[in-house]
Amino acid sequence: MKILLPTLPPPGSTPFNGPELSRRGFLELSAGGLVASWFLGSPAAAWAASSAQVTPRGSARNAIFIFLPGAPSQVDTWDLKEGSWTPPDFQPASFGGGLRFPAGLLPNIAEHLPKVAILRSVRASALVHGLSQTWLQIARNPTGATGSEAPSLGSIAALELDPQRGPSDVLPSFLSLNTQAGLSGAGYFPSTFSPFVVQPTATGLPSLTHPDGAARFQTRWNDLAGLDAALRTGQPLGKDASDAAAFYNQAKVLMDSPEVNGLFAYSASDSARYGNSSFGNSCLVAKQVLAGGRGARFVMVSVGGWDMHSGIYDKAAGTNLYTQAGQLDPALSNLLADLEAAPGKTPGKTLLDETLVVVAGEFGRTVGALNGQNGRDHFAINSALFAGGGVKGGQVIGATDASGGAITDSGVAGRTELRAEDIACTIYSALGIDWTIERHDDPLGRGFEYVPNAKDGVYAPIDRLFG
Amino acid sequence: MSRLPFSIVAEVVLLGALLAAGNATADPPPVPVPDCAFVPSHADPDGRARRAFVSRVTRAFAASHAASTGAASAGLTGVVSHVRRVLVNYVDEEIFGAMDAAKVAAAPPSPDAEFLRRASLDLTGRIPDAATVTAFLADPSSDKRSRMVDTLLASNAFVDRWTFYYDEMFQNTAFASSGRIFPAGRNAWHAYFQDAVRSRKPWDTMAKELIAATGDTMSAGAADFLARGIQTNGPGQDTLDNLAASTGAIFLGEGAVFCTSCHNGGGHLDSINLWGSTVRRQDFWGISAFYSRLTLNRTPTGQPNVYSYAVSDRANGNYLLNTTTGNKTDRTSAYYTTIPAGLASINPAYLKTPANPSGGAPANGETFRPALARLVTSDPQFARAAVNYLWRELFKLGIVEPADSFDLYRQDPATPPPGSWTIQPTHPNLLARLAQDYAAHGYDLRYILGVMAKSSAYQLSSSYDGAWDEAYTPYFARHFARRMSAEETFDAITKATNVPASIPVSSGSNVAWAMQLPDVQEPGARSVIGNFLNAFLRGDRDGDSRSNEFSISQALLLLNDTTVTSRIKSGTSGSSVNKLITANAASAQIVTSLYLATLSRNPSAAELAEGVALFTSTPGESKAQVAEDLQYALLNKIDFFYNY
Repeated sequence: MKILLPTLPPPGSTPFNGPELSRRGFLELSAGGLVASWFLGSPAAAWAASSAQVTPRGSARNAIFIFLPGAPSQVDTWDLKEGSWTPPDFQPASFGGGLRFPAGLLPNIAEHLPKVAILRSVRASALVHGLSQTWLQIARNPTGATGSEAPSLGSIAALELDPQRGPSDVLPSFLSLNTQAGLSGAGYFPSTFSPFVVQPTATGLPSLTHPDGAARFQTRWNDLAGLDAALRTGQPLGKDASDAAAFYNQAKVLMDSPEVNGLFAYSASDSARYGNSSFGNSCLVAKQVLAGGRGARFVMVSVGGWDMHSGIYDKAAGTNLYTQAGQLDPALSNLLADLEAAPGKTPGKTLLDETLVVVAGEFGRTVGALNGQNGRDHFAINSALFAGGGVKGGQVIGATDASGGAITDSGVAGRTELRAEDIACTIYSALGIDWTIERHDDPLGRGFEYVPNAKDGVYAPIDRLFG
Repeated sequence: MSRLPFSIVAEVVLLGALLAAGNATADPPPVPVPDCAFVPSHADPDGRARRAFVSRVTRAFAASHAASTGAASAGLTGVVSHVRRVLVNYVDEEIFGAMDAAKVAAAPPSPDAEFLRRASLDLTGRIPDAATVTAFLADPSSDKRSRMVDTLLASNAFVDRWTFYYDEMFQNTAFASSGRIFPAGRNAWHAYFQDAVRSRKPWDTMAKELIAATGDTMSAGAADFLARGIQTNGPGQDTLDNLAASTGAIFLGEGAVFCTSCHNGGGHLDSINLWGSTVRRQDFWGISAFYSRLTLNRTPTGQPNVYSYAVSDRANGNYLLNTTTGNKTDRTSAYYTTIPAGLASINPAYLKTPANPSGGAPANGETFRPALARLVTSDPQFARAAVNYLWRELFKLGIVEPADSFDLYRQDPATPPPGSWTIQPTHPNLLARLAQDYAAHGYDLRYILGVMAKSSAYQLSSSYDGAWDEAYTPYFARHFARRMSAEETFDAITKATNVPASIPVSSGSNVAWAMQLPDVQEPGARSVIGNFLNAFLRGDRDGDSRSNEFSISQALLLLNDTTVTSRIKSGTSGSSVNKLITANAASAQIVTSLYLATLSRNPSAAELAEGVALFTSTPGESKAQVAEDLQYALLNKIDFFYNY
């Protein structure tokens, strides 16, 4: 699948020369009828861009990014290093290919390892939570030149996938569930591509349901339509204000689609299967929303509490590895099972075949024996999990030494280690997005690369994940 | 090309428009090299939206400008129509003078209610209450607008709103992606700004106190300016460079200097910022060097992983060129051939600029940071940057845009820049007069805001008679509407409905107004109020910029969130609807009262009739229910959540 790019500006021109470069111009493009689809035209085509013209894999229709802020201990989970510190109830066991895995800590995920590829050669670029969490979400140094304008992975995916939206796609493309502090937004992109932030409840999407009932809402909506007609149909306050009316109409379409709200509701038994946690419910909703196919394509689900500087194995501590693994295990394993059981959009494919699932925290934790507070501190080497969307499961890529203190093999020829930027390239490629695109519509006018330096090959998709 | 009394922000835009129009004889400017550099987001919290806006405006302006230089003048040919205005002060002389010269018609003066709502929001962050609106509309005196401005400037809400302004400008937040000052440090800094605004502390005094602050960050709030610059994932030079960049952007509007924290301006800024293209990396290091004796001693607080910082100065040291690591390119003499080989360190040296040609350095025995504070506050650019930021708050667009990117070679019309470069400010004389006036009046925030808010220029209507052209924007020919900020929106809902909020703040007391929050991370994203404020894009005072864009999430919250729906109920004691129903008010009174409380104006005759009709035309609903519905509809009106 090849992304068509507009002709490059002539040599000597500036980033301002393009015909439609401001995002306001972009919004103006979309001024025509907005009912169910956010924009009529293709924003990717309307904005000048350059690219190394790579061929994205395009093996996934959707992506679920399971974000573990706080940074889970890799040597107790995905890159298990057994030692005198290892609690017996971790029940380390051998799986295919000599993989050692804490079957006692993550019993259900252990059963799904054949679907999962583990990447053990990730190195974080910073060891400060906020900095590194943002880094993972925007695939660049947040304190760098384009850090403050950078959209998150989900926002870029939303913009790139926008041309594929059809009339029934009423949900925003980028959804964030169980959102933790520090969620990155649309950056310099229009707010259309902002994460649609939802905290699931059993009865559905709270903000889609009027608390005083549908009949009352209709009366109120009619009152509003009558009283505000002058401001909603004309432009006496300028274009920005009249754009607000379009967003209202889109909100109303969502509210008038009960089947959409149904995608956010869940049963008590399903919730129990996923672990009866807000994170579990969010994984459940992520699966339902993608299965529903109403426009959401990139879903971020977060669960924090992994920053275990003390008492990491202490079951009496409020938050410890058992409590957090206890949330992750049923949720992730049932998510994978349910995605596999659901049909995909393409006949013969499962929803898991069409959905790339990525699980990662912002960095790792110190290795070997525990620290003086029986915890683990911040450490750059980290692991990540991949499944679905064309990923070949049952494999481990990259290796660390006996303690986990050093990467001995990145798993990728010519590379000593892999970075958040490589994970971003992998996600973009799977979704059919050219990860080397450099847009020339950014407000700083310096060019905005989806992944900095990727067009020069510094970062690239991790192809081995896909077999 | 004829000279016009204003310029545009980026002449590359103009050139682009000329080329697009078929006039391809001009040489294209050098192409900027977009490699890695570090640009501050300080002091420009809404930078991305504003830059996009400016980009759009200047392109449209450039197009008409180009057209007007041709045989047929197509753009600025509007007839000056029914100009009803009074030249209150020099702001009006400059603004209307430029419009007259270009034959651009001004919007009509704002009606009293429009002015009152706008001035209340801009100066105090809150909408006026119904009684204030009624009294103001009834006041027949001719000086009532100026007196209202004085009243607003003297209010407690003014202190909240301008404390917030400084919190935003300095990006005061407990946990930034790099520097962490923790809730207690953030609260102390917030308290410093609050005290400064309340006690009318001059801006130059604030600048001196912040740059040269000493003490503990959890008690001496000004010291948090230094701790906020800490870069944890790099060598000490990273922190010094952050502080140099903040100093340039916040106090001087010189964001371009940050580009030079990684590379010389030449070859990078040539088509963006003429002055910036002449700044070298060692010039930037000269600013960093003023901070090189700064010590930030991490002090345990007793709580795990929570620290304050003791801020002080060492007696010696300067900026060392000894690192190849961190978040910048190498800081070594070998990195540039222009640096003397083997140079080990850089001494403090203030930037030489056209307005400040001698630069400056610490005097003998003078401590570095107080020396920098002295040089910054005596630099003419200090007042110019400040009034431009303040102008942007009231007029929604700066005289120089982007406001943190002054081009110091393009400020003085008497010495025009070479080639196709144009003067950067839209109104250079106005900028100079505002700066002079601000300094002459002791950098008194209330004074200079009063000058702006009392002008007829500020009081133009946001509704324009006739067809609006984007090319009129740089003239400020109408007032620009914008969506209220997250905090303003929330506070307007509680005020209109008369159902107050109690908002929790970690390590602090609850506050009643979102505008009083010390940090955009309070309350958390998972709370009803935090979720509401985040959806209205308040940003994080770090990597995520504030935005005034509207969105589908915001529409859904205004339609269905309990922030709105719980406050409209007649059963909620003390609510605007409750009081009217309890008093058994007639339907016309209900309509009028709710319009006044919510939209800060009387309903028009048609709106009154339509509102009254709801009470008879809504089958099956009680009077109280219709009143609730009306309150709800008004809270969802565009002229509620817009400041216009």
